[in-house]
Formats: sequence, C-alpha cells, structure tokens
Amino acid sequence: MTNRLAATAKGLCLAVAAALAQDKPFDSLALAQDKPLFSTRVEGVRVDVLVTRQNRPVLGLTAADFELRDNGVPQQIELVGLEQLSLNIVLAFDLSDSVQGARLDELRRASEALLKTLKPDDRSALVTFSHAVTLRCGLSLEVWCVHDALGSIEADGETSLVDGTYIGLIVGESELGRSLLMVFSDRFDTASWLSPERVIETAKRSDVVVYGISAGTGQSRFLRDLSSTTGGRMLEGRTTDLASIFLSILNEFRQRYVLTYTPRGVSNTGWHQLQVRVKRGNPSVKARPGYLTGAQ
Amino acid sequence: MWPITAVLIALLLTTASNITPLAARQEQASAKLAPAIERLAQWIEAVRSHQVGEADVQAVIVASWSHVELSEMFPLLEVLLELVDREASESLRPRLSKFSQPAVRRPSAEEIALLRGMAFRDWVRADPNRLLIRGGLLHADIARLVKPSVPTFVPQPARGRAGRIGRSVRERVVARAPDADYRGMEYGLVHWDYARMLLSAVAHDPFADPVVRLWYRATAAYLSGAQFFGEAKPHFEYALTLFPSDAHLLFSHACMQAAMASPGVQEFVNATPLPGGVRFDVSSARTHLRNAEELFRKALDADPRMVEARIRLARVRADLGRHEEAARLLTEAAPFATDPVMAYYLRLFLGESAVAIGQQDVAQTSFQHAAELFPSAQTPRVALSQLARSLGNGAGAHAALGPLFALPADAPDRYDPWWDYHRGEGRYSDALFSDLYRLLERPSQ
Repeated sequence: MTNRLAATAKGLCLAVAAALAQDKPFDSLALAQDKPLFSTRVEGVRVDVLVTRQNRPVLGLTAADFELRDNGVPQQIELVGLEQLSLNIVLAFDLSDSVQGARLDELRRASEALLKTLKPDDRSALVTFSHAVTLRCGLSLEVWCVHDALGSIEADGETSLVDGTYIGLIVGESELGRSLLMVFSDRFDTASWLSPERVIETAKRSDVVVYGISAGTGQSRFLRDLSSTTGGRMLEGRTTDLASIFLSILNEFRQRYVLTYTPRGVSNTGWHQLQVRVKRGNPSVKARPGYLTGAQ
Repeated sequence: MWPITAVLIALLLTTASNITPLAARQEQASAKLAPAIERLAQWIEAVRSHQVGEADVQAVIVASWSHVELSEMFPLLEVLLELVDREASESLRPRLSKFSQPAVRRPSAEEIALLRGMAFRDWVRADPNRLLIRGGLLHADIARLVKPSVPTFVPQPARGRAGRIGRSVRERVVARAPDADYRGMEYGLVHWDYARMLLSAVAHDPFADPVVRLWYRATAAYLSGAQFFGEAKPHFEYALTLFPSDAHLLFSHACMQAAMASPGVQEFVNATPLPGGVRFDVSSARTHLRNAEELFRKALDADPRMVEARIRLARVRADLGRHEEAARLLTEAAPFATDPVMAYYLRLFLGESAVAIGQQDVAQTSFQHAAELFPSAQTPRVALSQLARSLGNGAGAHAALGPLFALPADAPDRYDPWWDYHRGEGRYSDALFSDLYRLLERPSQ
C-alpha cells in the first residue's frame, strides 16, 4: 500500500495522527484490505531520490529534470520541497551482549551527535532490540526522550534484528512526514520470529527509507537487502567512526529529492517497478526499486 | 581442504602426528607407567569422593591434568578392570584407542601387583560399573561446570596426500560463537569424550542402564540447548548407538537439527569465513530440516504420546514449505497441547501456516490465542501486526503493537517462550540432571 499524502489541513492530519496513537485493542482489529492510513484529498506515491555525481549530491534539480516510470509507464512528477515535509528519524539499535562496553558508549555518542543536528520540527524515536524489542520513545518532537533513554540503556541478550527492524518500520509510519529508519547491528539475527522475507515485504509497502549500519565481523544480508529495497544504503562502520556515519546518513537523507505522482495507466494492486532517472548529465540516481500495493 | 566438523560451532579436524620408532616408544612407555599408576590411584580417589553435580576440588584437580596425562592413565584403567571385570575391560578397550596410544607392553609384575592392590579395594571390586559411571559423571561435571580452558586451534598448511602425514590422530575442534559472534577456533572439551568412553563401557544391568540412558538425555539436552552443537553432535551419535529407539534422545537430536537449520545459524555460517581452508560442518537448512523431520517421526514411532514432537514436526514441515500438512498436524495435536507453552507454540505455528495458505482469519485467531496465553510476550503482537500490515492495515499494524509498546523494558513478565524454542530439551536440562542425581542415590543392585 502506498503512503498517501495528506493534502488536507494540518489540523486533520493531527487528528488522524492522534487516532493512530490510541491503544486500540488487538482483538478489534479489522482485517479489511486497503484501509486508508490517512485522510486524503489527493492520493499519490512518494519516492525519495538521492542524486549524486562522483559521490557528491547534485542539488538544484526541479521536477522537470526527472523522468519516472511506474511499471514502464511514464508518470507526471511533482517535486515536493524538502522544507514542506518534516523528518521522522527512527533509531533502531542492537543491544545484544556483544554491544556492551566501548561499542555501546560510541553508540550513545553518535546518537547524541545526531540529535543535536535535528531541526525543531524533526521527530525522533528510539527502538532497541536484544531478544526483546522495546520502544523506548515513540516519534515525537521531544528530543529529550531519546536523549534520556540513551542514558539508561544496557546491552544484554541475543539479537532480534528482524523483529526490531520491523517494529522500527511501523514506528516510522506512525507519523506524517519523511521517515528515515537507521538500524545499527553488529551481529546476525538469532532470536526473531518474523522472517527477513516478511519484513522486506512490509518495506515494499512503506515509504520509510532504511539505512543499515553494520559494525561487526559479518554484514547482515537481511539489512543489506532491506536497505536496498527501500532506496537506502548499507554502511559498515568501525566503532570509532559511528558519529560521522550517523551524521552523513542524516545529511544525505536531507539532500534527497522527494518526487510525488499520482499513478496513471497502471494497476492499483501488486508490485510496481520504479525507474527514476535524471534527464541531463547521467548522474547516479538511487531510489527504491518499486513498491507494493493492495493486500497480499 | 581439511575435512572439518563445525557448528555453532564445532570443527572436527583431522591432523597429523609423527610416528616415533617402536623401541623409543617402549622406553618412553616404561618411564611413563609409574606416574600413570599414581595418577590412576588419584583418579579413582577423585571419582570416589566427587560430589556429582558440583565443581568440587576433585573435579578441579582432575580438570588440571592434561590430555596426555589422562590418555596415558586410561589404558591402566583397562588393565585394572580386566583384573576385576573382564566384561568391563573388553567394553572399554575399543573406545580407549581413540584417546590414547595403546600401551605397548603389559605392565610388569610389580605394576600389576600395585594395580591388583587397587583392584581389591572393596569399592571398585564390588561394583566396577559404579566406577565407570561415577568416572563418567566426574568428567562430564568437569566439562559442564569446571569448563577448563582449552588450547586455541590454528590450522596448519596441508602437506602430502590429502593433507596427512603418517598416522592421524582425530581431535575435535570447535569454533566459539556466542550470539553468532565468532571468537576463534579451539580444541573441543575432551572431557566429554572421556565421559562417553567410560559410560559406554558400563556393563548392562538394571541399575546401570537407566543411569546411562538418563545421563545421555540430560547431557545431550544441555549441550544442544546451550547451542554447543560441535560437542553435541558426537554426543548424539554415541547416544543413539547405545539407545537407538529412545524417544527422548531422538527428539532432542531432532530439535538440534532444526536449530541448525534456523536462519541465525545458517546466515552466520554462510557469512563467516574461516582460515586455512577450514569449513563449518553445517549442511543446508533443507538438509537439517529433513534430518529433523526424520528424527521427529522416529521419536513419535517410539512414543506416539509426545505432543511436543508433533508440534515441532509440524513446524519443520512448514519450514519445508508444506504448510497444509503442518496446519493439519497442528489442528490434530491441539486438543492434546494442554501445557501452556506447548499450546503457545502450536498457536503461533498454526497462525504462521494459516498465513502461508491464505487463511487470514484462522491466522488472526491463532495469534490472538497465543497472545492470551502469554499476554506480555512480544511474538504474537509482532505476528498480528505484520498480518495486519500485509493486508494494508497500517493503523491496525501499529495498534497490535500497542500492548508491547506499553511494557517497560525491564518488565519482569516479558518472557516469551519463543526465545527458548530452539533450546529444545535444553529447557529441561536442570530437571534432568536432578533426576539423574536422585537415581544415583539409589543403592545399586
């Protein structure tokens, strides 16, 4: 299901967001298909795009500079100004045994450095996972919540990377705006219930962009595949340079273009392959490879 | 490439050892026998005094002896047993050859007199089985509780045909990887081998058999539950040669095979390069799942009442893509899954298979039942959330996680039985050891 833009008044968006936050009993969940997430006047698809040349972001492009095809059909693009959409930054951190000590300290420092660069209307959230996944702070403008939570976290247990990442995706969808999920892990998954395929399937229905940060002896294939599916990247970082990695990710995310369009000439269910290119100069373009809409 | 057996992780390495000329061996053997007899006396005393289930001073002392010292001592144990119990000695002899150079000559008359003096200790003479059983338990307690350090293994470059020179000495090598964090390779804990060697020499009798059987069940559960797969693999192999139709051993081995098929193990093995041409002895997920399926079926043939074996067999079939079979098996087992943890697993697996075959309503009901059994467990919430999300219900996906989000990180009742699923019978290893020690307290026949 695509993330439908709310083109209504801000008040309605807030009301809808408030409804999402209610603790709805699980046994009253409806399994109706395609239940709208937000009230809309205009339905559209949003695609986060990173344009680089020689590893440097290309700035100053307009909608006219892009060409976008949905399942091979050219689409009419609108370019959303980045200042019109707030950022939702969801941090999902591995707190298994192996993150104890210096690695956890560096994780805290890197997170604090990141939080300091957030703008007043950016939201942040913190999800941690050992074998247990915990929402430390939901998405909010209150940076202090994440700051305080970082001070109290401890590392202990196994690694539910897949479940933790899934929950990070869901948290990232809980507010309007552009959502960035940064997943840090130094290990492979050892404790999750969900399969990697299920979570990647979820990501195909979501606008959340995932960046994975691996700091261990082996890179998680799940995290790599998930990052690629969402148009993000997988980075490997030593414990000592996490702060610069976190900042570079946020900076890169801020410099992405947000293209929107209303799909025309294509089915409204199933997998949609996306092709995005810049018409001039042939720079490198990174965007999600597609999206999934409709029920499974 | 060196043939290796490894799992989360164990490596079996075939190495080469030099052959010493025969005359030199005889002279060396003679010089070694006197201390070896003394050591045997100390060992017998340690076995007699050791408090089973404890890392006591006897266990610590024996743990400090090297593999060489112990391997020189055990052939004398064979001689000692021959003096009192030919059957036990003959049972021990073939197993000793794996661990020691066989004695190149018989002990002298004086040495035999010394041994005979030991042999006439009432305690050994009255019940040689008891020596073997308690000796096995001593070494198992060393492996499990004392956990002596073992030397690091460094693979040597292969030389000669198939990398072997002369006679080979098999040694087990394991790779340590707590929480899939590779820490290096080291030699296996040889005390497990000693324990098996001694217990497998026990002559059959109404007292010994249940003790040995329960010992294998408890130790196999412990090893596989702790994911010491490299140690557990030979353990199961030995155990099932002694008790091929034991439902619990078959079940426990099946649980380990399923654990080895799990994504955590498979991804770790595939993504972790080992040096020197060494490779893990881990097969594909499909192979391990098929092994698990066969073993669960054998366990059920041996004991059709094992509800957990049915539930796990269903899970294995689901993992093999046979969801309709799995759902059918789980539905049939449901009335008998009265234990809350078994009912929890059943509901989760039934839900998962229902999702796979497009029965969303059944899936939701099953996951909800699981959530009701363990209200603070995260797995059913995650499952319900993902189910909703897959149907395009983003709000429902978030709402399903609401109870989970409301829990503090250190909530005492956050336990989720799913976290222990791949421990198999390891969940009961403490209780099994308690049963074993109670059995030992009974007077022997």
